[in-house]
Amino acid sequence: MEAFQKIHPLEFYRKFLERSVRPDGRSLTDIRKTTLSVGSITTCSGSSFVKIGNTSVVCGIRAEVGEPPSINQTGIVSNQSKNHSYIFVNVELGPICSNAFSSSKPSEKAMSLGTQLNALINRLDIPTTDFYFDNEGKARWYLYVDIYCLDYDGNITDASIIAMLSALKNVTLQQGIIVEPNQYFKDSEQPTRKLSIQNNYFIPLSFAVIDDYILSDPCLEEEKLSSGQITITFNENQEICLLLYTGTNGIADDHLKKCIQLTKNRFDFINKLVNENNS
Amino acid sequence: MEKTIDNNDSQDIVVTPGQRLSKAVDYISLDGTYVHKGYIYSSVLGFQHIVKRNLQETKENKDENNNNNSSSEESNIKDERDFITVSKEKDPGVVPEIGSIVTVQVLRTNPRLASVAILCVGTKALKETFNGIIRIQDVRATEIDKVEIYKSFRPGDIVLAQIISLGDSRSYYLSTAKNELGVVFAQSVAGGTMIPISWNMMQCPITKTKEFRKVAKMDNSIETEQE
Amino acid sequence: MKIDYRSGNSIKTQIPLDYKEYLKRKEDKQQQQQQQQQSTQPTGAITYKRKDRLDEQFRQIFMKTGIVTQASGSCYLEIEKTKVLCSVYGPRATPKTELFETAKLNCELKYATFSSNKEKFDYLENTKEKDQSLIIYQSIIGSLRLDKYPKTVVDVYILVLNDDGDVLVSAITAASMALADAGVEMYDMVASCSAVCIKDATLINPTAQEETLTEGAGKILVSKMPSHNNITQLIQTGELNYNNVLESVNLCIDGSDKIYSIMKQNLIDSLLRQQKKDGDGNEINGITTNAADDQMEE
Repeated sequence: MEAFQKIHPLEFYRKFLERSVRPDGRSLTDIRKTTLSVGSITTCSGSSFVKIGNTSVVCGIRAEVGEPPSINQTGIVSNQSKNHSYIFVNVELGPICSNAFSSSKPSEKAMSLGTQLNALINRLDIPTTDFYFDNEGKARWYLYVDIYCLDYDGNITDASIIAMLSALKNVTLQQGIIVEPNQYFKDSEQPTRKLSIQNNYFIPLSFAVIDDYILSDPCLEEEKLSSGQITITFNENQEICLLLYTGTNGIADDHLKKCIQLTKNRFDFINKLVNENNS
Repeated sequence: MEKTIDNNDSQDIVVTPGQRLSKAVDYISLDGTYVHKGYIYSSVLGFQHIVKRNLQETKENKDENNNNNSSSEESNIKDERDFITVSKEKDPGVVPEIGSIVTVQVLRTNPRLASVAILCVGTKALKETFNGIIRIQDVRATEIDKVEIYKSFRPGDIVLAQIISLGDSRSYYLSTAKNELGVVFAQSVAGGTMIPISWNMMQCPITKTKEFRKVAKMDNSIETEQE
Repeated sequence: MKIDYRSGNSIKTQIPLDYKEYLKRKEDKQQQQQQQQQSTQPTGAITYKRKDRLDEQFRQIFMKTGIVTQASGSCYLEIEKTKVLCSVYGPRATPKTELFETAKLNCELKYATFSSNKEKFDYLENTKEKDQSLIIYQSIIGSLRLDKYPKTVVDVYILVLNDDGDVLVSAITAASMALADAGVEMYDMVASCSAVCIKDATLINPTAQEETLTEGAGKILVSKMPSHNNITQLIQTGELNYNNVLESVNLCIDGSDKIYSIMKQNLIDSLLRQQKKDGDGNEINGITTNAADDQMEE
């Protein structure tokens, strides 16, 4: 059994898929157990820990102070994307989480995921005043969002998106004092504040395409065997804010519609999960 | 000293690495244990097993050769001692060893050798593959000078082989010089799963073309053939 | 050469300090200067008293093995706020084999960028991480039976998620537990303990605050294999007199033994728990039962 799976993994999977189950016991549309906890890391401004089945990621946000972005300094930074230059997302897929990654070579997967998450963050409409370090905004808070994968068992995209959003909602920023230029101190006596993103949500769901089957929330083995992958993310208004299909074969129209419907079904669950943990 | 030895075939004693199990004179140390300063210690986390001597008659010789940890004085004393081992249900660190039967996939061939990836050791699948080489002189036992690699293996074939040495710095050396070793699964050019028709031929069920292979003699002892 | 490919901020930023702390430090400095003016004898005597626990008391330890499913073995360890994850891969094939007869051990410690609120960690390995990786390597290599796995490499990766002192002890303990979980044969597990000496007090299992209380404070780290009573690593830095060293080493040895018993118990529990789970899982091997199980979950 074990040897058969190793030598002919695709045949092995087909035998299961014909009967509409997966080797781990899920049906094709089942999503693994998803859990979330926030604020467990004390050394940073906001943190979250997300587990989807075996896949687990931890997200920490560190806040640092710097001068406000000026057009001269950064060139293209414009008023159009207000918070473009305040939040930076990075994904770390290190050797600790899977044997597929090494410490010396940067992982392409991590790079592309980082870009996607940065694009998602941009659609959050956070007022610039939220990042003011002091009252006048002479200095600004910059948020570095780092997502570390601890266990890589497929569907890292969903886990990262949920982790990123809930960590952002967990961020508390302090009022600052500027003693001299470039000497910044935080005032622990003043009340802390949160970012005004409390009503924003990302509802992600990923799929893997094996032959003609669409598998929700694929595990690592399924991702490896799949000919294509779909990621759909909804925002708080049930509009699609990220839709990604990669694969060697085309995808049928009704398949895509089905996926969108499945993602919609996940809406309430994720909403509740994030709300419960951030109240 | 903890008194953990139970002479009944006890399986429920969990021992941790470094735990002292018994005096070296009481048992012969086997897998998962080692001898240090006259005592037997566990070297893995697992269940302690006492293996009765009479059941292990055949394994005895092997034990003496392999067991470098027990002092020479001990192996000379042929007495009534039982064997002691520690093992975990899930056997994680499977590493190819000399003599093990492995399932490999042929990666590429050249006139002198076939490069393979070791997928399974025995019936255990490896988490990550190891590299191996089947040299031309190790393909079969007879008529070694007439062996041609491309008439024996093609890339993609699944082959049963035995490890004969740790090989060079990159790969293990493997051999298929036994009747029951050789190609167990191969696809023809047309994509069909080929059926063995003789010790050196396989036939494609679709096109009926015959291709040369070093075919393994089928018996049901190995799991991969249950397909 | 490692290349940092991550998107960055073009504006230089820094971690702000606490204002209260800053004021206090300023005061301290002034006081010190005044004192130095008054008397030539340097005082420098910082007295520190632990509030929540005794000097030789450990913080609460929590550990759990087998949490990274992709790895051969893993361990998550918490000493109150200090959180460390370790995963072990291997023994696996090496791309380049330098050692032929034995396995090669490879240790990598990484601090998460958000693991400290004082120090800034880059994505690339810095010298502190390199140094600590080496200490961990030296602590555990003596305990492993690497000759059992020729031509292979055993990779140990450690990620520090939250640094609240005693990271090395956590890392060494986690690494040893993860190796045992992976089933790598070893002579004994390595338990470790560290202490900071401040004036007369020897503080076992220090927090981040205690570690940075004074510059050049005496620090001691002991790693040992308790069942053979062998010390695998002993590191002492900072200024300490001979008697203090002996005393601290003894305290650390006692501390290691305590940690060792926790490690042992934890491994036994994890194995029994795992066996119980496997026993339950055996029933759902076939496809039909799988589907039934699936419905139940719904």
